[in-house]
Parts: sequence; C-alpha cells; structure tokens
Amino acid sequence: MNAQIGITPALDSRLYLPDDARAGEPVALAASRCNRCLRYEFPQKACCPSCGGDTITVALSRFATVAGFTSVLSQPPDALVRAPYVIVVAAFPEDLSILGLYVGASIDDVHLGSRLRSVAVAAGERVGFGFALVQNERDGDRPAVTDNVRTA
Amino acid sequence: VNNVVIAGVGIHPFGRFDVGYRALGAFAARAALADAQMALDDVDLVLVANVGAEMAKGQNVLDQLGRHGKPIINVEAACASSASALFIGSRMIESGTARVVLCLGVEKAPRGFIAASGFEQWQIALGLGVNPVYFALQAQELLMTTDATLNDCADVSVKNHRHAVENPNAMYRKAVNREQVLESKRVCPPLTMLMLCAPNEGAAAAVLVSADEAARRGIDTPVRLRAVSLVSRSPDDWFVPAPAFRTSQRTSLSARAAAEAYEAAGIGPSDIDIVECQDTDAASELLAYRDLGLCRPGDEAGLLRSGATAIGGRLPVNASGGLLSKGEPLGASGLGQIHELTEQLRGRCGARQAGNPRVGVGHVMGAGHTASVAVLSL
Repeated sequence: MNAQIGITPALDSRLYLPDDARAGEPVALAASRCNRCLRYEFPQKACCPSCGGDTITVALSRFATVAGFTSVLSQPPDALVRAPYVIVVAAFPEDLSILGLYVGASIDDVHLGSRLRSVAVAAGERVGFGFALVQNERDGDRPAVTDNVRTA
Repeated sequence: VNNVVIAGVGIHPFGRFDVGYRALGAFAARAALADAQMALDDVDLVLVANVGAEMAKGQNVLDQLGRHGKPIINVEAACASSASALFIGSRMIESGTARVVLCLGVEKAPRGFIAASGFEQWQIALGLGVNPVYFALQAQELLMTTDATLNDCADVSVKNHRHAVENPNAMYRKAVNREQVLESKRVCPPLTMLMLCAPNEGAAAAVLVSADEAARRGIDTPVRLRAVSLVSRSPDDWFVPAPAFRTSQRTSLSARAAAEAYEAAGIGPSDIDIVECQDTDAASELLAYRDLGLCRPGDEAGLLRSGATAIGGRLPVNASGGLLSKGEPLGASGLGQIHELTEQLRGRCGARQAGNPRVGVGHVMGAGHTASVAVLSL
C-alpha cells in the first residue's frame, strides 16, 4: 500500500471491460467494431478512427498470444502496480494487439507465443485488466493471478 | 518553392544547469540572432517550442531579449515541438507572410520518468504509462525480425557517444564501450540505461528568412531549408501512448514524413550526406535507417556494421552524438538537430566535422504520433 495514493484515479473501465467484470476473474475484454469496415478498436471508440463509421461494442476472444514483452524495473509514478512487473503485447484473433499488465505467477514462463487469457484485476478500489498465462484453453480453471496490483 | 534560408543558428548546450528555462531560451535566441547578424527588431514572428514550462512561455523567454511587439506563438507537440515550429515558420516564409521568423526550442525537463506523455489515467494506474516500454517492444521486434542483435544496439550507443566527445553542446562526452552499454542498469529489457536517452535541459534556435531577404542581407553560401514535413497519426501507426495496434498491418509515421520531405525537396535517400535522427533509444536509430530510406528493410544492422553511419563513413548519422549523448530537452531537440546540420553544412564543426556534406536530413518522432523530416542543403 502506498499512502501517497489516496483516491484511485478514474480508470474508465467501461471502455474496455464488460459491466459484470469482477476482479480476479477471467473476462472477455470489450472493444468496438466498425459497422462499415469491421475494424476492431481497443479501447472502444464511438466512431471508427480508420473510416469514420459507427461502431458497436463487442466482446473480444478470451484468449490471446504473447507477441512481445518487456519488464518495468523501476517504479513509475502514479502506477498502482509494484515494479518490477511485466508488460505483454497480447495478439488477439480479431487482428488487435493490446498492451497489458502480466498478472501471472512466474515471469520466467512468459515467452513469445505463450497463450494468455484476459483477466479483470483489482486496481485500488476499481477494476482494470491484465493478462494471465493459460495452460489449457478448455479448462474452466481460474487463471493464476497474483497480487502485484495494489488493492487499496 | 524552395525559398527558405537558414540565416543563423544558436544553441545552449544540453545538460543540467542552475538557471531557469527563460535564460536557456534567451541564450539560444541571442546566439541565433547574432549568427544571422540580426537584431530582434528584424524578426517578424517568433515561434517557441516547449513542452512543459508554463503558460505564455515564449512571451516570457522573449521578454529577456526585448519587447518588440511582434507576434509570439507557442508550439507544442512533444518531441516534435521544434519540428512543428520549423514547419510553421518555413511556410510563413514561403507564403510571404513573414520575411524573418525566429524558431526557438527550449526545455528544462524534470529528471527521471517523463510524466504526462499523453497516457490515459488507466494506463498509468495499470503500469502501462511508461515510455521505455514502447521502445523496448520496438527493439524486441527489430531483434526478432532482422539480423540485428543486442550488440548492434549497444554499438549505436558506442558510436553516438564517441561522436559526442567532440561536441561541447552534448551532456555526455565520455566514450563508452559495448560492454559498458550492455552492463549498464537494465531499464526495460532488452534496453539498458545507456541505450536510452535522458530527458534534460537546453535550447536551440534558427532564424529563417526568404531567399530574397538572404540575398539582400548578403548572406553568402546560405544553407537552404528545402523541406519540412509534418505528419500525424494514420490508422495503422503505433507509438507512445497508443494502448493497442492492428496486428496485421503497421505503418511508419517516420517513413511517411521522409517520403513527403524528400518529394518536396526533390531528393532521394542517395542524395543525403548527413543525418540527425531521433535516437530516443539505440534501436530507434536502426529503425530510422529503414524509415528514412538509408537502407533496405532488414539491412539496418548491416549499415551500422559497415561503418557508414559513423563520422568518417559515407553517411554519418548523429555526428552530434544524438539524443543518446546530448540528452533530450524535448522542445529543443529538433532545433538542436537543425543547429548541428547547419553547422555541418557550413563546415564549422571542428573535430566532429563529418566531411563536406551538402545535403542534411533531420528526423524527429514525438509522443502522440507526430513525425517530421527536414531537408537542408547548401
């Protein structure tokens, strides 16, 4: 806990999470899809930045693939995450790659091509998103989420 | 359409100083005016590039020089602030709206993380609001998709630090070797501290005039500003602070900025003699080789290894030491490049003079997706 972090900032989670997202649970991230050119956008945009068309909210696939990763080794100001932590690029089947916090147990298990699932994570008193490794996509197990995000 | 001449340039060294940003800016502005043999009263318009100082910054800087009553306009576009000022200034000259424009970039950046890079609060809260993460991911991709290695990234830092030894305007003037770069503090793997530039303080300025005005003032061997491009984000560009990108297709802001500038200047990459590029990190310089057309995609490391981009090579890149050695005073970095290129074309760079270049290219890339390429020639 960091005493300097008083009130959790607005996380705008309605832009990327469904209303019923619960911290620690797997989730299907919310994105927008253009009605005209069918392009996906994350987080959601009211109109398509590519063609200007109207968009609808869609649920992304629950699973993605690690297309890149790095670590943050020094504590960035105002982050609710304790450094060191890992950032992954999660490539989704919807032709979207999303940067997100890796919330798995072991950093050493993250490799290019590793399979990920989206999870809702507690961030202060609000809910954000991250990615956890999956062993078996058909399992109904909850992902191994560790508490490297501060819960205020 | 090539009507713009750089009549004078000035710089305050980049580093850390016990003076405010107003004094830094005033120093560079005075130096540029002196170099152009002009007084403030000769200037029709002042454009001041800065990211973080305060409101009415340009007005406050210029008040140190004199109260000349002419328009002062502040310009901000992160690391492309200077380039944006140069873009406006050059067009004001070309259109005949102004005869003399002073472009000034100045910054006194805080130490450590660059705050307020345009990240959303949720990105910051979730640990995603970290600039070097973007550079690390770009570097990782470069290492995966080409034959470039981490040693090559280290060698970019070695080269630029070697160049900076002879640059009195650079912050870090000590040569480093590959091992020192690789073994320096890890920031965001694969990037280490010495593969990343440090935000710092400094100022740089250029006086732009029309060709007619240059002739009237008897400026012999003028350096011409033949093109300045400025591009913003297209649907498939990805840079700080974008949270996501389209996997199947990614375009390059810098490549687009280069294409526009080369076309406007009527040159091709083979005409370029010297380059100052946005080496925010070592891998970014290698990516710039590709984006600026200096090599074919995949040949970035080969170009570096050939020695072409070192002083003494056929196409020196960052003879000034680049941002890796000078540090990056965000709002001033682009005009810092213009200062270096102008002095190189004039043959005034002393021990770091890179031959007798006739065509120079400056390249910047800013958070929020802005890229610019400037073409200078004798």
